Amino acid sequence: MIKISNLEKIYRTEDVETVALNKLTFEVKEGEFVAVMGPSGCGKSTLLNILGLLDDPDSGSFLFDGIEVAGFNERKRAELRKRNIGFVFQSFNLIDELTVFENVELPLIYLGVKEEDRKKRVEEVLDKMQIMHRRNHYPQQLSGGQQQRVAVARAVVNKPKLILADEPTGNLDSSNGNEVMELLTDLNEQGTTIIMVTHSEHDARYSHRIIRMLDGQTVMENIMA
Amino acid sequence: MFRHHIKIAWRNMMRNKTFSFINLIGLTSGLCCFLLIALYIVDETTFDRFHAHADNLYRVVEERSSADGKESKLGSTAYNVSVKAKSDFPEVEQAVRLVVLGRVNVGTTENTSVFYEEFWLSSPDFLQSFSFKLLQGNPETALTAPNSVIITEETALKLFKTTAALGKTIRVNDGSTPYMVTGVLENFPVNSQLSFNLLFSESTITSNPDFQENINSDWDSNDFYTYLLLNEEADPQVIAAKLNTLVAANRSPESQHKSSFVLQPLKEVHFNSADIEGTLGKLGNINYIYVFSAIALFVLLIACINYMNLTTAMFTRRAKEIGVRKIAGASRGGLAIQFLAESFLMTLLAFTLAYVLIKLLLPSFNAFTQKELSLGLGTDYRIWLGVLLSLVLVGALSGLYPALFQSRLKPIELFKSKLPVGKESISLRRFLVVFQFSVSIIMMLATLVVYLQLQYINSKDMGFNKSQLLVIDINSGKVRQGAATIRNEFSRLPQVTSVSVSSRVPGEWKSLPKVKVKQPNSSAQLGNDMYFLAVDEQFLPTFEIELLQGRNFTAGSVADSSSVLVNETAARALGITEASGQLIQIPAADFGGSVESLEVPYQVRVVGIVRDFNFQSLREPMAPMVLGYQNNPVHSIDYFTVRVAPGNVAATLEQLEAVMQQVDQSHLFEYHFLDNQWELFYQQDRIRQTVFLIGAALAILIGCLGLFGLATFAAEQRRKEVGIRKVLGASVSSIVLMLSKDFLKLVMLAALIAFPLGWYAMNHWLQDFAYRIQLSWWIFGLAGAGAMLIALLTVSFKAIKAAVANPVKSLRSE
Repeated sequence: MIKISNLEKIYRTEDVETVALNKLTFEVKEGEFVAVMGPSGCGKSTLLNILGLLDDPDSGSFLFDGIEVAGFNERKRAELRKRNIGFVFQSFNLIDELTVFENVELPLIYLGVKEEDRKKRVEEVLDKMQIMHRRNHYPQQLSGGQQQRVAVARAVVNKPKLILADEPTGNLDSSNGNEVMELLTDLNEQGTTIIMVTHSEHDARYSHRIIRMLDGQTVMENIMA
Repeated sequence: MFRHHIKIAWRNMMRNKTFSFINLIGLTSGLCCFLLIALYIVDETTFDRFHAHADNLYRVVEERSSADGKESKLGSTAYNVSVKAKSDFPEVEQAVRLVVLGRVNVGTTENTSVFYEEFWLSSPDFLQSFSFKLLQGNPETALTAPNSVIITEETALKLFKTTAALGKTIRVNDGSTPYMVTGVLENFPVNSQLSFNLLFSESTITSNPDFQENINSDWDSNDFYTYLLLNEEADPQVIAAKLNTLVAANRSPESQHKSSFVLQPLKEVHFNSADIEGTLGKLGNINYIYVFSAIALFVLLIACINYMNLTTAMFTRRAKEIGVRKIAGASRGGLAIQFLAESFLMTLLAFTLAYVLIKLLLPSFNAFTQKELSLGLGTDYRIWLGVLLSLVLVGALSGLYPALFQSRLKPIELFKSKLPVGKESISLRRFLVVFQFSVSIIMMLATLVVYLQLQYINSKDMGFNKSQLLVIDINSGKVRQGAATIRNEFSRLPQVTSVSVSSRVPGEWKSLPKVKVKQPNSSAQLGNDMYFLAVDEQFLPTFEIELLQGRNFTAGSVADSSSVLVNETAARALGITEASGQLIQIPAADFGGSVESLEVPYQVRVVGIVRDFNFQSLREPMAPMVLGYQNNPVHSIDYFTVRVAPGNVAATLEQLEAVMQQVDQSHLFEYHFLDNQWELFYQQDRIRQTVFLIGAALAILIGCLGLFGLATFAAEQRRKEVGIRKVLGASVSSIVLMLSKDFLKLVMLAALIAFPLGWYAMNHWLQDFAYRIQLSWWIFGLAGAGAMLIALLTVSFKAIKAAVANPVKSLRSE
């Protein structure tokens, strides 16, 4: 489903050049659950941004579902992104001014889904994530675990093929963290491909495969049992 | 430490160049506009304040009701009113009379014909009552002796090329009487209601035995401007009552009108004389002073608030810096001082720029307002106080907000980079935007309406053709007698297409006499009021006025001196549909103020009807007019009007002057183009239009700066939200719309407030004009759409910038 080869990303300021991704090459098959690990500054977040079509590589190839997307412009990337990719962030990134329901509804609005279909779909997902009773609350009124469940609900509401999770349990205690990991595992079992960046060996164990990165390159791959 | 503050302030300004630049422009233009208008207003409102006795000086105003019930207020009274007031009322310290007897040709013994000046005369106590300062001469005696004159420095230079003119003599109208210069006046302020270059002693005319006899019994005329200087304890109302009794007791029982008197404080003459006939000097309009004050204060206020808005918005970016400073040991006081230093540096810079700008603008501003304004140490202290106050206020308020608010937060909160913003401050800002845009839209409306009205006036068919008409004054008896010769000579010049003589010309600034017109069988004592113009047979062709009915005058016809033409309005009033020599009677004429019966009622026949033409400003409705032939007992001819072919004007003027010189050597050639003369009617309106335009432009500019600040603030506050929405698939346009929508709503609300107010104000202004445009809906639509478009451009600049930003950056900062 995802095939990147010789991917490069370099950040330049006036006199410093930082190589974030250094000729990175790997592949993720449909239905896989992959964890990406490595120390701070190894290029994990840069990789996730490029995989999420939020950022452009400087060179190399990026095939998404067999289509070369490395040279896509912002409009095309946005189109591809909103139909195929869901995001889960460490800091949840919910909009404070919107209710739980409205937050989850947002991706469907941007996809142009009709109001009644949206309502049905959002309620379905909220039910599955067991936060239906909180639908009219604002994010600040929820616990961290609940907020992340809302974020996951929002990530899956448009049934994406790929979920990108950036330290999804980083701001949660262990029991809430485990709940979120169970959710992701469930989604993966239902066929959604997941790529997760994490610092936690415990979380990484939920995945099928761990890619370890250092200085913008993969240094090791572990296939989980 | 201070150097450190200044250094940091400077670096911050440089780092946020756009912001600093906008801030500077806003505050500088606000200060500049405020100062210019303040200078103007102070000048207008301090008219005649330079007189030491200004508080105790009063003008005597006569309120008259005539036999036929006409009420009028006159700025002048009879001779004896002042004489008896001084001798009989102990509260009256001085009684000054002024009389203006038309214009005279002033010269010296060597050069008898220099320039025309108004012939002002005054009683001896003039200089003791008014504070006009004599550079040379004795103020006690300067105006005592007959044939003495005091002149201004400027006039002395013009006549004698020196200000040491005491004892020199001047001549008037090429006459033999020498007038001795008994005083040279220091040039006096422009904001003096009494403004003259030469002032002759009243005894010059009162020493004439005939005249003396005339004025001895004068309780009825309105020839003398009378000013009373009262003592501190006097009550002007009591004096006015005494004057009423005095005049009633002395006026002849046959007098046709009743009078009562009012003492008008000298300080009120400039603004409160619109309804008083015969006021010397230019009048002011207090309503415009109110409007201008409102504009000045508004612009300054908004500039200050904007400045604060922008500065505080900018401070939210510096949260981290403040956090680090606190961790490094900065006290709250220390931080507060730093912020205040920064904001004061900016205000000081803005003031310096504004000062330089005003120095550059003042010459053209003075030319535009016809004033002599200056900004310096001598400027009214209240202006400086206003400037100082606004600078301190702006500097302190914009620095105090971050000083008090941000320095209070814990460092850890500051590191979060998103600062909490009170809901109140946002709604206050919104309220301000609505306020700013309401005023901007009103000003845009005002500019548009004034512009359209002036366009309308310019293009309106006046019933005659005012372009290429040259009007030449008749200033001497010789020229008047030689008019026929001059007219013939004029018409021979190649550039001249036609020539006419007349008593007045349409659009003439001097008063147009009225006559009473009645039909012989009418029972009315006097008849209808109609304007009167004496013309020759060339008048209609020269002015291109259409003759609708009957015939024009015939050249050289003696019989025509008892023929008249009337305009359509007059014909309607007289019930004449076809001019067939109907007999009408003119028993009396009114040369401004009082109706005087003619020695013999003037019997005339109506021989023609002309199309209505606008002979007065378009503020006035069409009025009935009688055009008499040049030889008539009412009014003699006073002007030549020459229609000239375009081009070669200078040469034509020279030739015209040469013709006049042949008839009267000492006659000074005075002329103007009639279309320029018409422009003068609307000069004040043009000034207003410009002021509104500048005001509107500034209000819009500053309003947009405010909007820009608010949009920046909002974009900064919603940065994360924008990032999330983009990640979830929002398009750039939907984000721009989301960020702009709120502001456009505010502008729409502003338009809703502005429309009725603007309609009311401009409708009121248009009522002044008899001929006026309709306030159609599209004028409002244009102003509203204009404001909307400008607001959209301003906001979308920021919104687009926020919408195209990479969302990764805003999300990463968490």
